[in-house]
Amino acid sequence: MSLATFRLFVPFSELLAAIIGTIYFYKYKNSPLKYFLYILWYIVLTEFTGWYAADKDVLGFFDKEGRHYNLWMYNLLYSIFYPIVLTIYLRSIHQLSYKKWIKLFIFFYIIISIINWSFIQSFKYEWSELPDVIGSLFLAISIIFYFMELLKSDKTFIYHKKLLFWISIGLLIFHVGTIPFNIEVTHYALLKGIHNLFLIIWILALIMYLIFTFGFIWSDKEAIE
Amino acid sequence: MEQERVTLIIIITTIIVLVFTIAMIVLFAIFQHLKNKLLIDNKTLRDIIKNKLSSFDI
Repeated sequence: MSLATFRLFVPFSELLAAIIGTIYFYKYKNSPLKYFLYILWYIVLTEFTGWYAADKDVLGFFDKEGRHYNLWMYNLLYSIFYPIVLTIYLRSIHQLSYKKWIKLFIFFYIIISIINWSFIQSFKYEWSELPDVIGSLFLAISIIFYFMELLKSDKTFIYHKKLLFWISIGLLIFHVGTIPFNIEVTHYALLKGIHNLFLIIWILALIMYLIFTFGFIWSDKEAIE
Repeated sequence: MEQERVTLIIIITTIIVLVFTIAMIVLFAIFQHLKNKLLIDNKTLRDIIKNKLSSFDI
């Protein structure tokens, strides 16, 4: 199987997760997780639009050498993705000290993104490096807060029946696993033969969306807040 | 040459962070399972003590 064929699995795994998430929406429509479905559909939209844009050389920007870039779509997606997902954890966690930290994470992520896109990187021609790495770290710490709160809780519950548990696992594996890849990606992305490395991102993305799909099916209905 | 070096570094660091992440998830599952078991056992113990105390009252 060629790399290009394997790449095709990723948008369809996203689409599958979004469709299954929509079918089981009744389980979590009264919890903060409803925002996760909205962002999932936005990811699908970006992926398919980006795919079309790359194929037809439209909706993007050309550099001096005539190369077509559609990175603005993905940079916009990640600028929205991290604050929304962090907000889901902010609203799902009850301990005040953790909530304060997550509020700080959201604030700093937005500030770092604004500084990055204004002074450090080009929104149109470069893959988000610093905001992506920082966003992944903030997200991983927020997920650890969520796990710690579950462990400290004196209630008995079946953790693997909770949708946020499965979403957290998927997010952790993808976002922590891709931190090494995202550091300095803009500098080595144009090296000859380096594209095989993108396989790491695609495999981890595929695993993440399959975990989301499983979580939507396996989890119990969320309690009304 | 540079491509090989970059590829190797990224693959190794990715494997290391993934191993740590999966280990953390497994540890969480084990601790959560143990906590649930302890809480259920404690509840049973509390119920036994309560029953015993009420029989003493009688």
